[in-house]
Amino acid sequence: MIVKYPRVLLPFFIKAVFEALALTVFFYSPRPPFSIVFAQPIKSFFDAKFLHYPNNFSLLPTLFYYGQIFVMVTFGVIMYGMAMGMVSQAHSEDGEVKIFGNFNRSVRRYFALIGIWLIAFMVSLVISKVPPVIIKKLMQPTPSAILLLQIVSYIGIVLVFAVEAFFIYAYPAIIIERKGFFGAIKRSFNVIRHVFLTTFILIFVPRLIEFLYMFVKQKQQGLMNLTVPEITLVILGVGIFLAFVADALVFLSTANLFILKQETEKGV
Amino acid sequence: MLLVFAVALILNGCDSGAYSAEKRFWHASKAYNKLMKASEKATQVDYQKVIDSFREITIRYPMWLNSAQAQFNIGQLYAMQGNLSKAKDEFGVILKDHFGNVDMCARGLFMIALIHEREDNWPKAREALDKITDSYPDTDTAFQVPIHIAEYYKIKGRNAEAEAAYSAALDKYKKAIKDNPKTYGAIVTVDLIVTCYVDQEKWNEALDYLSGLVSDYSDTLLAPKAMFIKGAIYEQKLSQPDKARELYREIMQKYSKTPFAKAAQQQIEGLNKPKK
Repeated sequence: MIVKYPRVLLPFFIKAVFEALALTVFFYSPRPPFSIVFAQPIKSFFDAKFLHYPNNFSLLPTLFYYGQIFVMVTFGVIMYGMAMGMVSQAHSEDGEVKIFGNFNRSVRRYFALIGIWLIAFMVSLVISKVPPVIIKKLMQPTPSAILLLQIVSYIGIVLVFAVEAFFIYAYPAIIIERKGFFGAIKRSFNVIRHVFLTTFILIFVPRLIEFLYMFVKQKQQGLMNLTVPEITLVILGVGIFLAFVADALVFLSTANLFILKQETEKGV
Repeated sequence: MLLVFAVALILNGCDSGAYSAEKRFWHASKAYNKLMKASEKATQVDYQKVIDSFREITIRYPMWLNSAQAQFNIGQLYAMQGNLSKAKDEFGVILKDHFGNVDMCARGLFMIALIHEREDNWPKAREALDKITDSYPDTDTAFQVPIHIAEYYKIKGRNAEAEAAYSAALDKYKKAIKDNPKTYGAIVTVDLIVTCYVDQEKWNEALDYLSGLVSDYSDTLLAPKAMFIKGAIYEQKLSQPDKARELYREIMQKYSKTPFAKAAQQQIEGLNKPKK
């Protein structure tokens, strides 16, 4: 499909461009004119030292994480919706994949799309963050507690993939079948019941790239000391590219599966 | 995305403001530290490269806060190469171009004094040291001057002058503690006083003074600090480990919430270890 309709990658590319813009803005946040906006919040919420070289690079991943959430909430979900519409059109008889038509269609369903993303995001956040916090509070930092923490973290990551699988078909349901928020969730749960393993693999394999990337990202501080602080910018830039690849693979493959499922259901 | 990064890199090339100064200073300091670690292997070219990096900062950002530090590092690099007259000139630039930065001026002047000492020109060294205490009396460097003068006389075997200098230094430091007993500076000054006594091997005088601190300032951090040093003197210089142990225990009981309690515990553990 990507070879025949390369424009289906456009929504993911636009999202990546917005993320790169966010990264650029945060990179320049200690310097004027960006410092006019960012200096005070950075001082208040973090520390004034992060406005100075090279400490600003230590804060950059955190700021970029918030930037990614902002991009996701504002443009990201619209781009996902747009991609769903494009995949649907690619399967239609005339095969004409429109850009602006799908963009408008997605904008009109913004609130349903953002609702789905938010609920999946919140559940994932609770699953991945709460158990490690409880372990840290209840246990002394012994080697066994650290091992348990690692195991729980890995289980959390697998569960996050599972959460994404449960909600992934809500996006095509909203755009292609014009379902509402609750209807889309119900439809997604209904689809996943039949194709859970396939969906899980479709999500797990591309997201595994991001998962491996996380290990590199964790070593950011060490890499910074070993090389130059600017390495952080390269690491985060690579992260944007990997997210672009993973998002495109996950959403395009599951949208295709959704349409195939739809066709099978119609056939029945 | 590549376009955005290209634009970012181009913009990064626009070199202005404190951030760019910080960036240049960080990279120059990294090269400086690397040079310091392997100074015996460093060539003239290596030194010159680092000097040029710091020089660029002083030229591009003369008003920047750390520009004086960059100038100081240039002086040090010349001194390390043995080019003392050039080093003196470079330290002198701090006094001329960064006269508002009193700390750096005092440090620059101290380095000039050290160079004069190395050149065996004590009158000039003394002149520089006196200028520090006269012109920059509130700096940390000015505080180091009295003990430095005393130690110089001691090394040179000028015992009468050394004794007088130690006495003058002790008077100054004791007054400083009396004036501001609750400051961090007071805690640091205790070390200077003890150094004065240790240099002269006057252990009992040191113990008497420290006991006075414990009784006079029992509600400040000076008390546990003085007790800890007393313990160390009993342990290491007077070979009385039992008295030392007693003092360390007292710190742990009376001043358990201070950082000295943990240090005292470690000392007791060290004392309790069987000697090989």
